[in-house]
Amino acid sequence: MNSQDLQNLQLIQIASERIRNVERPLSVSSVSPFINNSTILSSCGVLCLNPTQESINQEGNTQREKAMDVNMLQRTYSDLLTSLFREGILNQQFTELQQLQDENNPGFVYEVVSLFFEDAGRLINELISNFNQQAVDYKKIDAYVHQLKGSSASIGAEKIRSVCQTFREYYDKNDIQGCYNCIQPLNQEFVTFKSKLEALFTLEQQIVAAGGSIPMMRH
Amino acid sequence: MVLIDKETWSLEAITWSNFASMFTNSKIPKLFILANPALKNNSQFFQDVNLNIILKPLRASMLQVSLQRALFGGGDKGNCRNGVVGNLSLGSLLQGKRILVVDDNSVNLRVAAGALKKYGAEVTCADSGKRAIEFLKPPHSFDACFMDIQMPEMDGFEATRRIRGMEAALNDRIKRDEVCREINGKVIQSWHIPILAMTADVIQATHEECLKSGMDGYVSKPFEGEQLYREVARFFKPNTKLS
Repeated sequence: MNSQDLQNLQLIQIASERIRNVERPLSVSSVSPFINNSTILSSCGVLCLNPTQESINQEGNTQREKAMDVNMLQRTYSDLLTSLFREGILNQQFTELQQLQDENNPGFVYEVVSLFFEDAGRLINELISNFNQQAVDYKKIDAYVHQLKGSSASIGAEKIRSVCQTFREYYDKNDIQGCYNCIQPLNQEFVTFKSKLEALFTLEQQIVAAGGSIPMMRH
Repeated sequence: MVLIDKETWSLEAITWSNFASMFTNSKIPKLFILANPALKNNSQFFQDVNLNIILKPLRASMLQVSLQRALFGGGDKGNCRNGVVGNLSLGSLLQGKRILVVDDNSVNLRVAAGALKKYGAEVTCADSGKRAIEFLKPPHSFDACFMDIQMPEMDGFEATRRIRGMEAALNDRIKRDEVCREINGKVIQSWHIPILAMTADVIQATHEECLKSGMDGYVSKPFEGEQLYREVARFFKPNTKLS
């Protein structure tokens, strides 16, 4: 080991110490081609990535590809979220939920929406099975729809809330046919809502996994 | 922006006031004093309206609330009607308050609790009128209750009536000197926990029934910032005037 190596080794030791003290892991992306002794690097606890020039070039390309991937994911995310608001699937209340999410409450939106998936799924199943019975208990059905209206309003699931509202109006007028006609749309809206929000959450996870940040939306 | 930890400087209350007035006469910089909540007993300090006080430990959300209020709130700390500032002042009303939220729907419960926690409240959840009554049997340490009206088994009106009944019984005994008035170092002459109804359908009839059953008001579900502020401000004073 010559003196240059020794100097570089000390620099790497200092750098790796600082990296270890940082909470979130940083990636050591490129390594000087002069330091090509991977044994020295490993002894400092540094993940040896690209000791050769060739693989440094490849590493550079991979980094660029990765950055492009993150950008594309972020754009897809923003587009999806914007379309959900534009199509009236989500309303302002969903934005309120996003604002309640912070470092004290990091998974809030995902938690609440997942709760809703369970809750609404159960209610809609009850609705459908109740409607299929010989003697339909409309009072019971109204109670279920009321629950669904409340929870969909709480999370900003506008279309679902709106169909529940329509059901309520038919119920108040004793319009059985009108009530019945709401059940299939209600199920459809829920299915759509669930698949779109699941896609949104998947994108979020992918963005974070790729080292990006979730784009903030302004409405 | 200047943030000073009160404990780092041993100024007397009056000197803090003079010091703070140097900042209020000009718009910038803004002065914030970080204080230990244990000092609440030192009411003189906390009653000084010139002081922007943020309680420790410092929470990012509380800091955001306080900073935005100071930067955009203008001179009127507690009575802002503007929608945006109304929201932000909720932090000064709810910080540290112990609140019981009652709703049989788990989604609604989670969202309501999340909103109140954001403003710094300590939230406990109950999923039925029965549970609410268990929690609110005096003595207890809750500062307020948000109660859903439409619940199966026991609705919000009935639960409230029973809670008021329990309070009335205890208050009678307090008057007759049969029981101790002190709880957690506070002297309570008469028990009355503020109960706000949470309702998705706000209609006049509901309002009357709320009042008849002993509720103190109502808010819509999900919460709407200005309305929530207005209702909560009837029971809680802004943080800078703790007594």
